[in-house]
Amino acid sequence: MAVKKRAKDLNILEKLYIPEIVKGMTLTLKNMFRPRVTMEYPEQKFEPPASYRGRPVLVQEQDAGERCVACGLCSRVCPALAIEVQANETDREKERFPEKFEINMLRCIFCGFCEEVCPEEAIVMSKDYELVYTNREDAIYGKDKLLVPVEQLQDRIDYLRNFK
Amino acid sequence: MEKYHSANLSDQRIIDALIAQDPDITIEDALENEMIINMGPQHPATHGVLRLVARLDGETVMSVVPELGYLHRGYEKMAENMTYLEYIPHTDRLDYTSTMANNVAYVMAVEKLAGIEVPKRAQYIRMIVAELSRIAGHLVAVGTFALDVGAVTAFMWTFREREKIQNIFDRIAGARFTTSYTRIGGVASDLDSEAIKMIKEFLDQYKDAHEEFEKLLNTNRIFIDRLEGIGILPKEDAINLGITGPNLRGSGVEYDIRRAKPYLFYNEIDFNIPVYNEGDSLARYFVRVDELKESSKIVYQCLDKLPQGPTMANDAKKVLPKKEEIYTKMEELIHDFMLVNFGINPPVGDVYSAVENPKGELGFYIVSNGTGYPWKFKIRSPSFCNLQALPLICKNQMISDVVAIIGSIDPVMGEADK
Amino acid sequence: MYEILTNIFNSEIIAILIAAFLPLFLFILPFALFAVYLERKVSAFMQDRLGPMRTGPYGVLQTVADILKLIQKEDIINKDADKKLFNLAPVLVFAGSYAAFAAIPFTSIYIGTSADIGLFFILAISSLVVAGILMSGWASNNKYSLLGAMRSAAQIISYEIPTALVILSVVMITGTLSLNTMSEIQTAYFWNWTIFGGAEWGIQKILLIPFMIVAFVIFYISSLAEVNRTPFDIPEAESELVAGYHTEYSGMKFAIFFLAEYANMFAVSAIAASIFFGGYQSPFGYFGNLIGLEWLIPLEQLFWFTMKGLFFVFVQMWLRWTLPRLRVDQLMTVCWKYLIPYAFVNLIIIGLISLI
Repeated sequence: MAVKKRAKDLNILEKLYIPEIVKGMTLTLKNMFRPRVTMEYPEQKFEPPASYRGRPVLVQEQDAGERCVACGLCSRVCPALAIEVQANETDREKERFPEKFEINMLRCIFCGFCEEVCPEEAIVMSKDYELVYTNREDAIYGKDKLLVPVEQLQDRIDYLRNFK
Repeated sequence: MEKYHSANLSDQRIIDALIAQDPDITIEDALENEMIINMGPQHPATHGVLRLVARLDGETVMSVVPELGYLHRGYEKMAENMTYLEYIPHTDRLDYTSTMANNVAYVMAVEKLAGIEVPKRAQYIRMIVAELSRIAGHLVAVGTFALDVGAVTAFMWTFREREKIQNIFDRIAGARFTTSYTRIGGVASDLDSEAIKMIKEFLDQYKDAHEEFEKLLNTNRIFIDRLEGIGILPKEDAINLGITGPNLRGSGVEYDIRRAKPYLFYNEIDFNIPVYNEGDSLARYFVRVDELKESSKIVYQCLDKLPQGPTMANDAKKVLPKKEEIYTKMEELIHDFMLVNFGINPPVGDVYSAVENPKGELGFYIVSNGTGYPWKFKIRSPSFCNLQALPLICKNQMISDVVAIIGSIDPVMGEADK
Repeated sequence: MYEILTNIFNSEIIAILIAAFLPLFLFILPFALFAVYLERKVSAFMQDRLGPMRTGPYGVLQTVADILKLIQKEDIINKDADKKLFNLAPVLVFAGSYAAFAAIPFTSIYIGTSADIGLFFILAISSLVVAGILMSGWASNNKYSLLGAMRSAAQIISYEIPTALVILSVVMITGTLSLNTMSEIQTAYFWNWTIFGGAEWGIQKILLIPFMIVAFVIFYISSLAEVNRTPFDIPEAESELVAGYHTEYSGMKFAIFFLAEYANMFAVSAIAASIFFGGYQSPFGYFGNLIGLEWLIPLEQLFWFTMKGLFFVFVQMWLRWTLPRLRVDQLMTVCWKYLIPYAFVNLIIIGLISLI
């Protein structure tokens, strides 16, 4: 049901510039006394909700091992080709582990696809958004910067199990 | 006087095109009495990297030649090397002021090609986010339009409202801006109760904020004098040039894809389509302002009608399975591997599917050859087609009006250049 | 003021030099710095944000940081620009804006010159600004700057006419061109101000009030156009011509344009306050008179003068952040088709009333 309307014409009081200008000015003045919406960083930081897609991290189990079996799905699905995985044998129960796992943070677009296709819940998006590097080599995160203990990531894992 | 020579061949062609728009001017006359000005790709008012070469006689514009391509990123070619799932983050970056709407458009095209049936709850969620991003896109349009004309405060107020929408997207999809929320077969994650509460709170206070900047601008005589009768786009020219969206509805044509060829569940929702007859910049502005109010009505109705149910389709060969099942069941694990590595494999054929984006009609034309990668991928972007109207409607306006006209057409260069 | 200084220094020349430079450095330059900060804070508060907060407590040192940054920037001149005119233009604009302060009375004992034709001098010397702007637009060798400068010249010259007509009508009431005498006439309480009809009671005063209000509105609007503020800021419209006539200036020359604009704003506000609102006179009587301390009175007058000027500057900033911009031909329409006829009619009616 489309409705055709005409643009409104101005009445005589609006044709004088002044009354409308005064109305606009009172509106602006009222806005001066309202609270500001600026968040003063770094004194006030943004606390992301559980569904936030921050930096991707590898989940580290309690007995100091990563869950990743180096299947290569995350690096296959990554739209920006940021993940590089090299698999190798291990004597533990799962038989495969990533000998080299690198994410190039300068290529990562934080889309969350790697977390979505992972069959082992080994890579999840944390809430970390403060990433600073001083040169390009520092931006390629190896396993040492990516492993995070599972207790810190519990609410993201709960969110994944409930909503996805 | 010798002919104008430029070291740059494309500049020479632009100058020739400028002169050619006016048949009874010779190049010597034009270059002697008039000024050729370059509103270059870096300009505070051209809504992105748009280059306009204008021929001025004093302050009046005689002809305008737009030049696009400064933001070309090769999206159509890149799609031929990626599976359909991997391409979803790229669709965010097309019309970057209303990201969810692009996601919805793309997955609808792929689902039409592959023949996947989407559950009802997912479709309602898609409608909600598409209308929210319509509000976000129109807020940017109205805000930057007011900024171009000089009222800076209105710009800040519309962006304050947009921040609230982005917080909602942050809650739903995990990212404020590049959301990549929809998936082939449904949506990526369900809405939790907190997100629904946030949407309702936003809509309740949105009415007052909307009235605020309407009061500042709508009856302000300076604003209206600046825009009335500027950049009139006649009805037949609008239809012939392929203009869609609020620009078309500002010229008197009642065409909205949500009514003409309804998709999702728009035929069950009650809303109006604002149409204005005059065709000038003020009419296009009023169309956008009215559409903002209509979109909030639509979201209210969708929230009321939201059914329970699954958010992803059940088609195992074409849709990614749920995460919990991947951890424990074998079939789903194999499907996960196959779908990620080889893609969906839709049947051989082609499809064109269009939705009503905030800027106009966004259409995807996908040709499939049976594999997981598309054979040919074409994006029909609304801003690219809307910019064709510029040389026609900028004739005989003043140079300050050119800025207002570009603002009222509202191009987004990410879309126009792909 | 001259007598005190001459007695201290025993030489007229030094006294004149000090008195000439005093308002410039002690009042106007700090005021320009403060006005930049005020504009940023006012605009931020109207737009629901905070403004400068980091440099100094609540951002008060922001302008100092800006000036330090502008001083140490490289001075870029185009290859094809006209160097002499390019360098001379900011000086002319600066001089034209600051020279107007010579005839404005800050308190009862201080005025820069004791010319009897103060208002005439102010109108004449503010026209130097037009020459400076045209020079900067032409010498920049840039089509945008030229467009901006031509528009600005047309605008300033056109809007001087309603200003002169309104000043003429006030001069008819008060009978003097000197701003000093005008401020002295509007003594003591606020009902003696010119906008309420002048100091003499009678039927003349009551009849004059609506026409003086109209005259004040016309004067304020044309003073907005003289200073290139929104809604008349086409010459420096950021979204249309990048920055208009000062596009090509960098570093300290840009700072000079900037400071000259804020000084000009204060100058026209001060003139509006002096003509219509009683200049340095307080609206309620003086504390000095109440307590019995005579030397307190000039300080109080300085305080009231500054407050009135600041209020009008704040209203100018308030208007800037509320209104859209007028297009050039609409600007000219407002001046020639609306303001000048109204100002003429106003002048005639006030002249008739003053005959009563």
